[in-house]
Amino acid sequence: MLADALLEKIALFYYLVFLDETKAMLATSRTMRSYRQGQKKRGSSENTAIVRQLEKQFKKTKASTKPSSLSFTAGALVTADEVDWGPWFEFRKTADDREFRTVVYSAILKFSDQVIADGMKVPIGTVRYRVGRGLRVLGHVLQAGVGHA
Amino acid sequence: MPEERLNRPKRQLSRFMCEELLYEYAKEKLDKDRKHAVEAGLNSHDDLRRDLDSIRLAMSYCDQISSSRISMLQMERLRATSSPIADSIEQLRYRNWPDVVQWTAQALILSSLVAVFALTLPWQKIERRTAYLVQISHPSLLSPRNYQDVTRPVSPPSVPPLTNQKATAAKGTRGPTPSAPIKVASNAINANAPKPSTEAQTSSSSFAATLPSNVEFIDETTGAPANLKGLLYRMLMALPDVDSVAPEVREKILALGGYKAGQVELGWRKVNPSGAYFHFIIPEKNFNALIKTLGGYGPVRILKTAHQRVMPQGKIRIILWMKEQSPEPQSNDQNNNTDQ
Repeated sequence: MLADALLEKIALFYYLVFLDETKAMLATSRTMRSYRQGQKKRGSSENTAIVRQLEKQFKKTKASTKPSSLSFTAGALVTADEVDWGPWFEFRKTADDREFRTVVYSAILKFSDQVIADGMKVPIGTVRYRVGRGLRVLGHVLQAGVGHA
Repeated sequence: MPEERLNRPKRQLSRFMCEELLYEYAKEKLDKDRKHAVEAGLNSHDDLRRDLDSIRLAMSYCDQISSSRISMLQMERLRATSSPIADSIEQLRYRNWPDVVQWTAQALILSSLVAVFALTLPWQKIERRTAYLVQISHPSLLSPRNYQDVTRPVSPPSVPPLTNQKATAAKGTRGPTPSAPIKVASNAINANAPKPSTEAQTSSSSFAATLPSNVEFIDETTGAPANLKGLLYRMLMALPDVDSVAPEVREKILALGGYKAGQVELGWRKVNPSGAYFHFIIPEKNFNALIKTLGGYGPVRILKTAHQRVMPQGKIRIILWMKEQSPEPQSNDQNNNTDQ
């Protein structure tokens, strides 16, 4: 059985990528299955494997398609404070896919740079560069107040 | 070593390098030298400070989002779909099959569909229909050249066996009495030609011996493919009053023991091209009588052709196409006759 923490991370990733609950649930199920199937022959760490699976499924499920609207059921995502999803929606639409994913892995799912680098198969410097650029884009969106409800 | 370090000049970074290191600066992952260098850059560039503020704002926003949790209900649903049984069921779904298996399945389904289609199609009916269409549109029968050959008298070629048959011209019950000399095609009778089958035992020469003068007989079985072991006699007549002749001919065919061989009744009236169509089987012994009868109505052109369908011993299959003759060609023919 997959650990709840990992399951939650996978689900959160897809919620933030698709901004659509149904698609997120489907993609999460698929990723879990794929993750479990590859578990036996895996040599890398669990987090690296998760990042790899997310990367693989991202390409497979055509998750790069930009969302056109937010589609969450009330209460599907529980947040401590009231989160304004407007800037995130704008960020998802405007940011480069690789930078967007790297921001999610690093700043939201809190994977280490090394894990992300291994999972995405890029040097660690590239990971930091992408996170920096992605955060700068998100910051500009937030500063400009674009997408605020 | 520490002295060297103390004496080393202070690290300086370009604006671009400072910009690239802002994220690591914000995360406090830089060593002291770089940190001081970035700070120096921040002091001298306002836009770098704004970028740093953006990054910090974004980081705090991301922290806020990262505190999000998937609801218990959703987690339960996810756990349910992640059970081994659900996995196995999901695994059996078509979309999860390996590509090779999917292609194989698709190929099997397609080939099965084609096989079912091929088995259920009424091939015999289609074949019969096609054969009929081929028969009535046989180029030898319908081409204007052949039509002219039959209706116009032409000088006979030098084929000795048939030139002696002029005297046996049959007198019909009605219709124009033929006055045309016999025309025999160059390949009309070839006694040495190989016969397609036992049915072909009805030799061309035996028919030729009793031919009326206005009957042209062409044997096309010479050089026919080996798989065509049967025989088919195609007859063509061109008459001006098909509507009145066809019922009489029908009655005579029946009287001679003939019966229809195809799908349509004897003397089926066709409009385009206009004429009457007879497809029938007749006892071989009555063939000469039939030719004499038909010859009484007008010129007849007979083609003996090889065919895949083999008839029982003593029976022959005939397709008679009685073409409606338009008045104009007839008048021309008459003119030609008078000219000659």
